[in-house]
Amino acid sequence: MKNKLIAIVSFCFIHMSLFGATDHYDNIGKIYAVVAVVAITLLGIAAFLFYLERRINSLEKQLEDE
Amino acid sequence: MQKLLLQSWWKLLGIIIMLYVLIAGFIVPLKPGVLSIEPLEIECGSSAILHISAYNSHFNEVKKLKAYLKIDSINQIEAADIRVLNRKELDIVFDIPSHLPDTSKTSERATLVILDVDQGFLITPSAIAITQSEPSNYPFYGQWNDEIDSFSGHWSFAFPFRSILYETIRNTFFHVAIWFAMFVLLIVGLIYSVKYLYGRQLNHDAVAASFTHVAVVFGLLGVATGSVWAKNTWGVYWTNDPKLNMSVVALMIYLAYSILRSSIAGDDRRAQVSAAFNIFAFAAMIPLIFIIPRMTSSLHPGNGGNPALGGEDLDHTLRLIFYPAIIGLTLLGTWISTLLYRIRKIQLKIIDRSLN
Repeated sequence: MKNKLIAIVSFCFIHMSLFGATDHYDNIGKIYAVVAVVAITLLGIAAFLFYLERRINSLEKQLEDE
Repeated sequence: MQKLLLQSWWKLLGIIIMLYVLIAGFIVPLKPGVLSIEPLEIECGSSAILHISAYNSHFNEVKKLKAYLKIDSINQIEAADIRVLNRKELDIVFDIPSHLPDTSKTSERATLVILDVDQGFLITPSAIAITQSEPSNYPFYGQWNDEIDSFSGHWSFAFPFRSILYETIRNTFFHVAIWFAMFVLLIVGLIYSVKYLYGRQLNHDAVAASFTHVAVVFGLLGVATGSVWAKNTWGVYWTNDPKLNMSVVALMIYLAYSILRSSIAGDDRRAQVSAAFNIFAFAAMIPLIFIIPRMTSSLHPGNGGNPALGGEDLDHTLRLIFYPAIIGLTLLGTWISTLLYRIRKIQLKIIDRSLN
């Protein structure tokens, strides 16, 4: 997840330097709404992965208890 | 099936596809488009100067610019003069004929068409009101018969420019695709619920529960992302729109599925009841999400009086990223579902062992 974010950010910078003057990153175009949507999606999936980890932890505990 | 579950190629494929979607979804630029026009009303017989400010345009680098005011497919005039102020701004001079082509009307809404010979058309439908103080007694077709040049430049890889949406058209790859992925996961859950009712294998119930669980998470993300998108386009986080409310009702039914599962003791009994409930929930979701919103009017695209996925809204550049996004998110969701399934399977084994 983290790698993905780093990839996006770096590609954005490469894009800005290559293509120069586009209005891509003015907020007139509401690009931050897209960033927010991607962030929500990734954070939501990450939250679910943490939930899975918790379930695995409890399984490990059950095995230890036996 | 069991073997495929443990193979990693499709998981990697899912990640690679999502990487492609994220990168392409962000770096492909938007086509140029008109942000504002001033003035919005002009009079017949006058020489009007329209001040245009545009988005993503390169007016100062363009070889040749043309501009037209178009009333309908046969009545249009070409600009008398175009002055490029800078990359984003233009002054366009139109000599408006003394009368409108329609002898009965006092005003018409004309479409502004700017042709950038390299990059294509910038079209603003119904942009300008043209008024005439006195309709003429005889037709004025003669003055409105300039022809619009066809575009012969090269095709550029860019997303369509839609006013209000602007860059948020990219949300199609995330918000819309996550709903599609949710739908696929729910279908897998449904299939395994039916399979359980036929074969009474607890494993099948575990598959159904896992896929449905992940699908609900995707659905919640769909609602949350949709809400952010709505704030940025409609101006509010939530409206009492049938599509929005009904999809939440459908999600509530699926949330009830999870609660139901946790409230029944005994594996077989829980599996039976929840399999039956899952089939009911799926049968309820179809009319809630796909039928009722189409029967009324809705702000949400793809519903009553508001098309989506039609030629205009989803052009081929969007499709090149939107379809992979659905596949990528489905693979990602399947992967997470199989992890949950394996947890459930181990749980069943532990319970089995403690009983013996």
